[in-house]
Amino acid sequence: MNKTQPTVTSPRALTRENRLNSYLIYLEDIVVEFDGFRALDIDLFGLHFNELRVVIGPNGAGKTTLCDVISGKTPATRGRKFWKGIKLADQSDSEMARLGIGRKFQTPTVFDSLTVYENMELALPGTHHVWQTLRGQTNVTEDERILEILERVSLTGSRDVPSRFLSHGQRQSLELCMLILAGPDLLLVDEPAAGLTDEETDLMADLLLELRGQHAIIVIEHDMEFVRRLDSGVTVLHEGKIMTEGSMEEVQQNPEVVEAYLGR
Amino acid sequence: MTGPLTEDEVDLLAADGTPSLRPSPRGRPSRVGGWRRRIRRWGYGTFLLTAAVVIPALYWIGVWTDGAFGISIETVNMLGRYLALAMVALSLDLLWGYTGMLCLCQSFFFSLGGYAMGMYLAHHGGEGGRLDSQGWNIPACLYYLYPYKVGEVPEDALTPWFWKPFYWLPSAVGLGLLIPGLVALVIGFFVFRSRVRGVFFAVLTQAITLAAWLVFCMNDMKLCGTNGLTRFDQIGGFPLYDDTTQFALYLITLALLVGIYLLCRLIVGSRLGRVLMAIRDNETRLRFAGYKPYTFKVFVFSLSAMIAGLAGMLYAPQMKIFTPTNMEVKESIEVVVWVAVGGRGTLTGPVAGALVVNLLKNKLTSQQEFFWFLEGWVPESLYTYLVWKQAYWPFVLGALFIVVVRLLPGGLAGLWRSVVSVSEGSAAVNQYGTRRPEGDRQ
Repeated sequence: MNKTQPTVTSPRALTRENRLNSYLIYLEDIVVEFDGFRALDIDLFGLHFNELRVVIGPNGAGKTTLCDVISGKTPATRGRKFWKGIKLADQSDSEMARLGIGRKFQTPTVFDSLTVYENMELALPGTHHVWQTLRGQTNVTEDERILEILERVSLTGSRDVPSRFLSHGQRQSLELCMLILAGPDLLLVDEPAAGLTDEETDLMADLLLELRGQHAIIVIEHDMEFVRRLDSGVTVLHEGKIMTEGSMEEVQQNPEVVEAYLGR
Repeated sequence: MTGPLTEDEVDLLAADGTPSLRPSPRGRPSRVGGWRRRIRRWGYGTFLLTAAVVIPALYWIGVWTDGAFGISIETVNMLGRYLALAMVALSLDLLWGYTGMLCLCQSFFFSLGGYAMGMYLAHHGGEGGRLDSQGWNIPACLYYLYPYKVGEVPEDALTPWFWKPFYWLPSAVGLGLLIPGLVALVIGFFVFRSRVRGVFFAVLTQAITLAAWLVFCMNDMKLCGTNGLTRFDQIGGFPLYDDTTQFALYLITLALLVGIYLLCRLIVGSRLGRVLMAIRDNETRLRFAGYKPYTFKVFVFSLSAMIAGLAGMLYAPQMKIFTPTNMEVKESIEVVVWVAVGGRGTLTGPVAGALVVNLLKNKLTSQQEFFWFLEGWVPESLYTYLVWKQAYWPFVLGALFIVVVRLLPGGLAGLWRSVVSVSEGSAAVNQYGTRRPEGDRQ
C-alpha cells in the first residue's frame, strides 16, 4: 500500500538553528499547568512545512491541550513557541488565526443561522475588521474558489441552506472547507472522524490526504484504522509528554506504547 | 455581488433585511412567489401609507373641521413619541436579535440623548431673562432647584459649565449622539474585551442603568434631580406648544425612523451583519477564523447607543418634559418586551412591537369600561370590578411576555411570516425567514 515508510526526524537530530529554519511550528520546553496539574510538558516538538502528523495517545494525554497551545487558546505556563523561526509572544487566538493557523474543533462548529455559502464567505482571508466587513463583497475569484472547495465535498447543492439543517457529516465537511478557504499554513484537526459514517470517514481521509502538500496538518485521532489510512508520521503523547515519534508501524511495535494503551 | 441584480433579487434584498434571503452571487435567484412578494410589499406600504399619508390627512381634516372629524394633535403627538420608541426597539434588536447580547441599558442611552435635548430646551424655556452673575441664562427648572450652599445668595448661583454646550441646538444634537456613543464605547471596550457574555452582560448593563438613574436623581448633580428637565417652550425658535411644530416633529421622527431602519438593513444585509449573527451563533469559532469579536461588539453597541440617543432627542420635545423616570430599569425591560413581541432577529418586528405594545399600554393604563353594556344589569358592587383600571396593566405586560415566549417565539414578525407562507402554500419558512431548500435546487 505505501511506497515509502513515513518517517519522523527527531528534532534532536538537528541543530537548534536548523530546527528554527526548517520547522513551521517549533515548541521548546512548553509546559501547561492547570491549578498545579501538569497537562502538557513537551521538551521538543517540531513540524515541517506541509507535513502531515497524527497525534495519538490515551485519554487525558494532552492532545487537545497541545492544539490549544499551538492555536493560542491556552497560554503556555512557560516555554517558547516559534512560528517560521520567529518567536511568538502570547498571541491571542484570533491573531494566531491571522498568522495562518486554522483550527477544527472536535464537535463541528459552524454558524447555524447562516447558509453554507455565507459561512464560507466569513472564512475568506483578509476581511477581518469592522469596516472591511461592512463593505466586503465577494468577488468572482473568491466565488469560484468557494464553489470549487464546496464541490469537492459535494456541498454545492446545499449552498443556500442554513447550516443548521445540515447533517453531522456535512457540518464536519463545511468546517473543514472553511479552514481550507482561509488558506492557513497549519491546520489543526481535532478528531475529524468522530461520529462519522464509514463512507464519510473515507471521504474525510481522502480530503486530508489531498491537503497534505498544501498545508501542514496536525490530526488528533483515536480511530487507529483512520490513522493507518493517513499513513503519516505519528506522535504519541502520554501523560502530557511525548512518548515516541515515528511511523505507525514503528510506534505500534514500541513496547512502551503498548504498555501505555493496555497497561492500566 | 458580481452582476447587476434581477428584479427578483432586488426584491429579495428588501425582504426584511434577513441576509439569508440575500441570493448568493451568480446563484439562481430563489423563487419567491408573486403573491407572497406582493403581500410583503403591501406590509411595508401599509405602514408608510398610514404613517406618512393617512395620519397627516386625518390631522388636517381635524384642523379644517375644527375637531369634528379626524384626529387631534395630541394623537399625532402620541404617535410621534411611539415612533421614537420604535427607534429604541430597533437599536436593541441590533444587539439582542442579531448579535445575541441582551442589553438592559437602552433606557440609559435613550435618556442621555433625551437629557442633551432637554438641556437645550430648558435653556430656552420659562420666563427668560434670569441671568447669572456671569451673564449666562439660567434654565428655569435648574434655578428653582438650585442647591444653594450656606452663605450663597441667588446671585451666586451659576449655570454649571456642563450645561453651557447645550445652549445651541447643533451642539446639543451633536453631543446627544456623541455622549451615548462614547459612553457605550467605553463600557463596551472593557466589558467585551474581558469577554463578559450572556446573562452576566444583561445583569451588568442593568446595574449600570440603575447606577445612572441614581446619579441623575441627585440634586447635587445639578441636572434638576427627580423633577427632571421641565419648562420647554421653544425649539430652534419655533414655539413648542404650537400644533404645527408638534406636527413637524412627528414628520421628522417618522423620516428619521425610516432612515434608521434603512441603516439597520444596510448593516444587517452586509457581511458585517453576518459577522454579528456569527457572534450570536458561535463566538469561539469566529475567533479562530481570525476575527476579533469584541471590536464588532463594541461597534454595534456604540451604534445602538447612538440610535437610542437619537430617539431620546426626538422624544424629549414631544413629551415636553424629561425626567429620570425615563431611565428606570423597568423602561429598559419594556424595550425588551417590545422587541420580543415584535420578533427579534427581524427589523420590521421591533418597530411593530413597539407601536403595538405602546398603543395597548396607552389604552390600558387608563380607566376603561369594556363591559359598559352590563352597567345596570349587574349589581353595582360587581360592576366596579369589571371596570378596567390602570393597576391591571403590569399584569397584561407580563402575560404578553409569557405568551410570546411560550407560544410565539418569532413574535409578530414570525406570525406574519407564517400567515404569508401559509397563504402562499409553498416552502416552509423557519424562524429567521430563511427558506428550506426546494427539491429542484439540489
